[in-house]
Amino acid sequence: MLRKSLAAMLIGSALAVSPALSQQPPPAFEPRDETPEMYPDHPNREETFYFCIACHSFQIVAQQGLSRHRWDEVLTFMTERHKMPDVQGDDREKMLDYLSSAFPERQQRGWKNPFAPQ
Amino acid sequence: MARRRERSIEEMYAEDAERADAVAFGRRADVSRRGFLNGAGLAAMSAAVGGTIVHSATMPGGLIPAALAQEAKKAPEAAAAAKAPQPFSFPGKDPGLTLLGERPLVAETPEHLLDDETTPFSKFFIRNNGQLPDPPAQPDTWELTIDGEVNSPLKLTLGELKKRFAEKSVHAVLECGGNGRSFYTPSARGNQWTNGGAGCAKWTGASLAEVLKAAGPKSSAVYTAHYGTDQHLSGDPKQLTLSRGMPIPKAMEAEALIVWAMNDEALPNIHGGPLRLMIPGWPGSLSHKWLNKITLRDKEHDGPGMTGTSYRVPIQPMVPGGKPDSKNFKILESMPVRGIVTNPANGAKLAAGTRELALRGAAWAGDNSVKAVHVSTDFGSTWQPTQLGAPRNRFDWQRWTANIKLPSDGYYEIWVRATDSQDRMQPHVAPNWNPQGYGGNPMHRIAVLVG
Repeated sequence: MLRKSLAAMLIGSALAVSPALSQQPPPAFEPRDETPEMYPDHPNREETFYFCIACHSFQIVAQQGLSRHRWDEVLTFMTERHKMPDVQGDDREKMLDYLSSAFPERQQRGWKNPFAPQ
Repeated sequence: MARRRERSIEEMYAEDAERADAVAFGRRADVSRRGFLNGAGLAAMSAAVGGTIVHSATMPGGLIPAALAQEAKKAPEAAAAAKAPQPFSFPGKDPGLTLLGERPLVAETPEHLLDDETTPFSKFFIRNNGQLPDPPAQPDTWELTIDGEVNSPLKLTLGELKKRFAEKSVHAVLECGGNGRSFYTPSARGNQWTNGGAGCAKWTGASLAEVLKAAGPKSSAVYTAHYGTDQHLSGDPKQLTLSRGMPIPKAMEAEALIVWAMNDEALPNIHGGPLRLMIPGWPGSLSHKWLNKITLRDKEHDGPGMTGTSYRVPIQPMVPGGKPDSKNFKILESMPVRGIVTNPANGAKLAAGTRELALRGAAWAGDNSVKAVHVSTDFGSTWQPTQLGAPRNRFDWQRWTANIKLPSDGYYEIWVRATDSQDRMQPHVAPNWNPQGYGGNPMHRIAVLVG
């Protein structure tokens, strides 16, 4: 399922940008290619990687360090704010598995908040 | 199968900072939680930072030395970072900028590269939300529309704008609303800015107030809405990348400009050229790039970036990491006070025998001015005032200098704390946690080594 929705997105975005690309001079900045191998090797890496890079580089994903429930909030935010396809069920769980294991909540330094959600 | 795994210094400090002190360095702090009991651990920690910790008597227990904290922060991503493309490269930009992401292109300026009185193009941070538009062949034909709650909507080319309105320049800080986000714990989501989502340039253009007045705002106009030509990253032409706005009184301030030049050069494409807004003191997202329309509205604007927890902070503090209640959020308007050391750089090594050090830095405070900047070399136990310069105009940053004594060779941390004109000081930690990390202005901290 994840692969199908990903393919649909890739095709959608390719159609949207290709006419412009054929007429324009080369852009001032060309993002470098990324591959899944650049990021931590955990299950569901490829599916998650290709889903996210349909729109943006994976660098912004890898900058984050979040708990599973906050990664879930990120997916909801991406759907509400940026109209990302609303992935639910097993596919969502798989992505959350990868995101929360590859980019887990960063442990805080020093003082610990006694009220922090467990 | 149990697997033994190397733990990073950061993880050890996270679990139990005082135990980490003991395990990593054999350190025990006294009952005041400062200093080193019987000197325990001082030698080990000194060895780790590469020199004697001179003000060790007041160093708080469980504090990761700044020299290690920077490394520690990188540790969890080290495996990925080793393979990922990291260096920043963009025509005319300093390769020392820190790349945060390429699509969209985002890069921040390390504090030590903000040492110029006016930040040059080469060192100015980059923040994009969408795709980078191609520069127009004829910038003067760029069109700007003013519509909505106005009596006579305007459509002006850049050429007409330049002819019809008086040219005005201000030196002003442009600062990303999320500047300082990386200092939040637990981490806030979004680009992990340190202090470098900011710079101070000379901006030249027309007064926004004059242009809006020319369109005759109706009494029903209470809020602006800004639009630009950059496409959403999804490639969907119907989707707006970002559209923010502000109350009319902010738009009518003397320093709010429609800008076509930066540092006396035509506004570069990467910074929104040929035309952008410059709304100093408030989050940079209001200073819309590639500006082609301003709509006056009869209510608070609700475009992408105005709602939810975007560019908003809690009214009453929430539990860090908890679930946000959108009713408890208000729009982030004036940016909080922030001071930085711009020279020396964090990690500077000074010759043995150096006993005095000249510091330079900058401080700014959103809508307010900076009243004082203090520095501490003993982990905040004592503070000394700095010589604080005046702003060239409202919204300019203020440069400061200080001389500090270095009583012996060894390791020093220099903390800087700015106070705004309303007597609000920078806190020790990023305050008022929120999921997207707005308002993070803890004191800047650098480490230097003598000898």
